[in-house]
Amino acid sequence: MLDFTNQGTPLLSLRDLSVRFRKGKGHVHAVNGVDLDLAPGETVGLLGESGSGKSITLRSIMRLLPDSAALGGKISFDGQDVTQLNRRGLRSLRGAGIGMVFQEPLVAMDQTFTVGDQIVEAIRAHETISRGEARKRALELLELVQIPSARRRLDSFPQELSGGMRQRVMIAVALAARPRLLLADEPTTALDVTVQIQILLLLREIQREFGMAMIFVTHDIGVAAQVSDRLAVMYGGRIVESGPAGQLLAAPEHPYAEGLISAARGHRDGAGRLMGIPGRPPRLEQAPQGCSFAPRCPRAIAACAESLPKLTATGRTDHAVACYVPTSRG
Amino acid sequence: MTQHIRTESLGLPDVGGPAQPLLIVRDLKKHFPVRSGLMGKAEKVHAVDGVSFRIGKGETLGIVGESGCGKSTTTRLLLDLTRRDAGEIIFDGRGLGGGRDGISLKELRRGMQMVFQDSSTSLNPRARILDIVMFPLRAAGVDRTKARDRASMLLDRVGLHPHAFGHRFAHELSGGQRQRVNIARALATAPRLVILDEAVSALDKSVEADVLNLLADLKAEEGLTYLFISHDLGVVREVSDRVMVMYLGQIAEIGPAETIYDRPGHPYTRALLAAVPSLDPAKQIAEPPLKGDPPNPINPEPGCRFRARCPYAEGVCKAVDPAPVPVGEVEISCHMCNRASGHSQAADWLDALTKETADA
Repeated sequence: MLDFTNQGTPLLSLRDLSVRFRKGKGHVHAVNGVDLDLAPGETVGLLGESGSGKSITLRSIMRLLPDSAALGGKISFDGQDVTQLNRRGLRSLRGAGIGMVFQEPLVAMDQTFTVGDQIVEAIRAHETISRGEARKRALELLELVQIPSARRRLDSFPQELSGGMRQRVMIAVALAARPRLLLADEPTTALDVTVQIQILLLLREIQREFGMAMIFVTHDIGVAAQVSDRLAVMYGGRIVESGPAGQLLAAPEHPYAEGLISAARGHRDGAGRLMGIPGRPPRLEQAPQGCSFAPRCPRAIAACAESLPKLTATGRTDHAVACYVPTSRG
Repeated sequence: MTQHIRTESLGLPDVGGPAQPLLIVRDLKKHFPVRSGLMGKAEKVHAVDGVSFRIGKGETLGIVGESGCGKSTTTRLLLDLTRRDAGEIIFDGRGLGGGRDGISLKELRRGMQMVFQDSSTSLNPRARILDIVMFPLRAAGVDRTKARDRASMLLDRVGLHPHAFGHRFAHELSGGQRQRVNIARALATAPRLVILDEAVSALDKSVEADVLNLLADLKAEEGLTYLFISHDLGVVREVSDRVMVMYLGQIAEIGPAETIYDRPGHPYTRALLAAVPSLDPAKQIAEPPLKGDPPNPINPEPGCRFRARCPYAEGVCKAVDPAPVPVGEVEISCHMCNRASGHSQAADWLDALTKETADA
């Protein structure tokens, strides 16, 4: 049993998390043993490409998975085991404990309700206060997320708002019940860069002000660097490297993280060609036996295909890598 | 020995010679009518509002700007997928619809092809890859055997072995492979200008590099010319010789990519570039360079389109539409880049900009 009065105890802890989907006659092994700890008030950027399992990992924390999914491992939030929660427990977890923002607010919001009603609903789902009182709080929340003429906007419908404004409203809805953890799933990917930076700065400001922890899922390294204290890089449903954002980006240990970072920096090889990562993402029909990146890895040795490298401390502060041939030992 | 994609029987010949720009666009305009509200008055979205530019042979011109800036509408107007309200389109010296010496739409579409963002809809899910690439050739009247041979050659050139991939369906391919098929299909009829509209935007970074390398190879080997549109400012810098920055249907700034990225002259370009998060956490952005969302170009008032969001806006910006002024090799539509405009900061702004240029 975790003692959550202890300062060093994480707010959220994932242990050997796995998610497997039924697909046709087979399976998709989307998440394959994720370990992650999140301290109160900390922001982790969960970085990965399509199919890496980053979004599924995030959704499993809220237990927002389809029925075809089999969840394994342990998720503890604030001392309680999320995997064992019943319907009621989940309801209070979603919103009061953990809030979530998605990529596309129009899909996530009910378009037949005004902005004000959506926030009021979210507040009253977790607190017994009058509608009038809740509406006052809704206005404060809209002001908090810096929506101009907030009072007027309470009566707008989501589809009447611009993309950036909708994203702000969704953040307000997510914050309605004062969650201690915010899960953000590519919330700025559909936005223009000029609007994206406004939302990133807003999230960071709110997160710091309320001491709220955040997991920010993204495929964009620049975005991850802007919002995160710590980064966790995912590949083939596993975290292959995690560490303080600056340290990891400056000197990655895992060959995949290294390749991804040079691709994002637009690095070129001696012949002037842009450096990508040859090969294709792993097939997920089977649970991985060895390292999923081994078939694409320039440093792979025999051991890589035989057994799964565990996430192991590198010796640098708070830095871990799952690789038999990390850069610093190469 | 690789076989050339260019072929006399399909492509348009080079009539103007190397000095003739491949494409000249003059004062292109498209205003879409909209009605605001049920009883609202008819208004016009000035999607593209007086855009002029040229692309040299063998050059890559990149277009950047926020959503609604008109970059995608511009490409649709070029191919006449959307009918333009006004403006001239001159391909290799021949004007579209320009009488006897002009170029017909049919010819223009042979000369220009487009690659869109990969999506599940860009390739027919029921057709085999080889047939997808053969289709435009058959439509151009090439006989079946020749079309098959050419489609195989094209697949090979984009890095997909025809025996391994020709009989597959789109859903059996990865995103990068699908985009290679889209490129092969676009090149089937030997176009000279390829419009790449968010062509790598749906790809993962690790895959994107390979597709960009392929595009660079094809350009070098086939003497292609590209118009490259992307929301990813980093990618545009990587691939473009020149860059055009658009804002609300107009060109804010156009010139060599390096100059524009290193020493942007238009305050909008500065803000746009400053909004891109750095990979270096020590260089975090503290303040958003622009507030609010990009506005709609509905019935714009006279004056500079950017003035509502511009920190340097003055009376002249409201009164007068800024005309493009050359600053070195760049053309900038901003009153601060014109000493004679009457903008109080014009001299300082230009001096700072030319000093940066001299220092570089």
